[in-house]
Amino acid sequence: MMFKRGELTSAQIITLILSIGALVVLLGFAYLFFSGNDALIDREACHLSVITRATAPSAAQSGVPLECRTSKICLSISGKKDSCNQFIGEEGVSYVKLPNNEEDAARVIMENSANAMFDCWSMTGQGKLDIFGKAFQSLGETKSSCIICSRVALSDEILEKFPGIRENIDFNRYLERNNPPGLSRTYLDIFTGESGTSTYSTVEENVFESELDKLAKARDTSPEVREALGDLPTVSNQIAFIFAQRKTKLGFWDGALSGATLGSSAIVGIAVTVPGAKSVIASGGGALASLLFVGGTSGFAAVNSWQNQMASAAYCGTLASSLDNPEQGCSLVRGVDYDVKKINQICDIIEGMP
Amino acid sequence: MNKRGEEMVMKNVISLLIAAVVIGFIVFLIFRGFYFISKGNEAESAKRTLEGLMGKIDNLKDGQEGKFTLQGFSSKDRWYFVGFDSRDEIDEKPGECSFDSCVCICPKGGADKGKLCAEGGFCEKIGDKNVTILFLFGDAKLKGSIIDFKLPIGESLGCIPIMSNLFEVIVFKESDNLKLASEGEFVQGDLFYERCRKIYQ
Repeated sequence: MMFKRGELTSAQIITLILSIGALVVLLGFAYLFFSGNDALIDREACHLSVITRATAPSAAQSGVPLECRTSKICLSISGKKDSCNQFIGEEGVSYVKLPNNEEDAARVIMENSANAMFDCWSMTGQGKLDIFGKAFQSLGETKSSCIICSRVALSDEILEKFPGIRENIDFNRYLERNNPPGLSRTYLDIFTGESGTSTYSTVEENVFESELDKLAKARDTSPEVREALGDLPTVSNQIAFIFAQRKTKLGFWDGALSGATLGSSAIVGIAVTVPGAKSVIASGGGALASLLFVGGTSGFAAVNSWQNQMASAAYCGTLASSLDNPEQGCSLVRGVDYDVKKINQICDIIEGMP
Repeated sequence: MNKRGEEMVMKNVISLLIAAVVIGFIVFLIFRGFYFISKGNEAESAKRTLEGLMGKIDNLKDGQEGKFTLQGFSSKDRWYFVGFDSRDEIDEKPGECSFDSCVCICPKGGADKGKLCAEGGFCEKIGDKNVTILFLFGDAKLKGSIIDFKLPIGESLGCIPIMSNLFEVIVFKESDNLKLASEGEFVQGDLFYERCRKIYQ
């Protein structure tokens, strides 16, 4: 074979391509770190730590910290700093300005909530990884562990400007009809995975909602009635998107959902689970039911429908890990009113950072 | 066995021993590494928890009372909120408080004889306010305001344990006083609790 002077050899070409590839990767990392996109960096750090923990040898698992920081999102009319009282004095809050139109504002609320749910679901390995492995069993098999992925808060001014915004919020329909940014499948399609939509249950009318609406009206209109009502439930106007995982040997889906099989994903609505939850708990309960059930009817909030409609992306089956005999359990991503009683009912232990 | 064979066996045994020592050392280093990463993570969570609380306290006006939900964290060592007055003996306080009052978050393991926050904790100065920290357990419950709250003997502590899930802290701020209160379950046999009780009394 004849070589011309100055001609590149195949080895040189490969080296050049690899060098360019490495440079692109490095530039990508540099962009990530210097672009100021803290949320993206936090998500990636969390995802990496979740994978590291799930694949670490069982003895070392407890030593691998979960680098998951709770992201804080304030939705407000002004979009200004400190517009959400819920985050006063807290660092690292992202502020989202809502559009001036009621319908668009409702869409942005649903969009941010859906993205928070999707991010939580994807960075925790779609619920299929064993994040709280054998090393955590000393904590008790029945205990559930959680990560609070994000807190989404609504500023007080929203209801003042858009008193009828709750009519425009249909969270489950949003999940059904819209795609996460840059993807070609809907949130619902992605959450249900290969199991399809056979396990999907729509959210029925919430029986509590009308009662809470009445309370809201009474409170808004008459100080006397308000006084007579006494202590109203806490108003948080804030939803926490949590990832919860509970190990189990039997009864994943008991009473919570029919037609679901082992190793399947599903999306379930609160109206489907709450009425049956008590009997499920009384009968020994399924792992999923224990994560889904949030007792009590309190949680009156400015935008009831936003909170009450909150669906959950669930997975029950074998949890992938480095163990010889992988364990089984249920994982769940759901939006819960940021309230001590409600969250502690689902989460015995919270991992990650506030 | 001939001499050459003996030498071979000796060499192999020595190599095996060296390999075992090196592998053991590497495993030890890995575990230490995990331990320090994990401790660092705990410390960062603790620092963020204290900063979160202090940020909310800073936003309270004098005479105001607030109830705040804080996110606890799971940890190998239990952490506590502890308060120190400006009038406390300087050798009982963490160095960073110096002559001021301060609110600290400290690990149980960081307690030393006569000093609750000897090492590993974080503190924030609050001038010369009187600090009262109450943790109620048993039948003692926080009802209404903590402004006029009377301390039930034997059912309260001067430290607030950081829970592994969410917990609430009630804060009352005045120009010369800062009161923090929370309630929960008492952990029997926890020496740190006993020290909190002793110090409070």
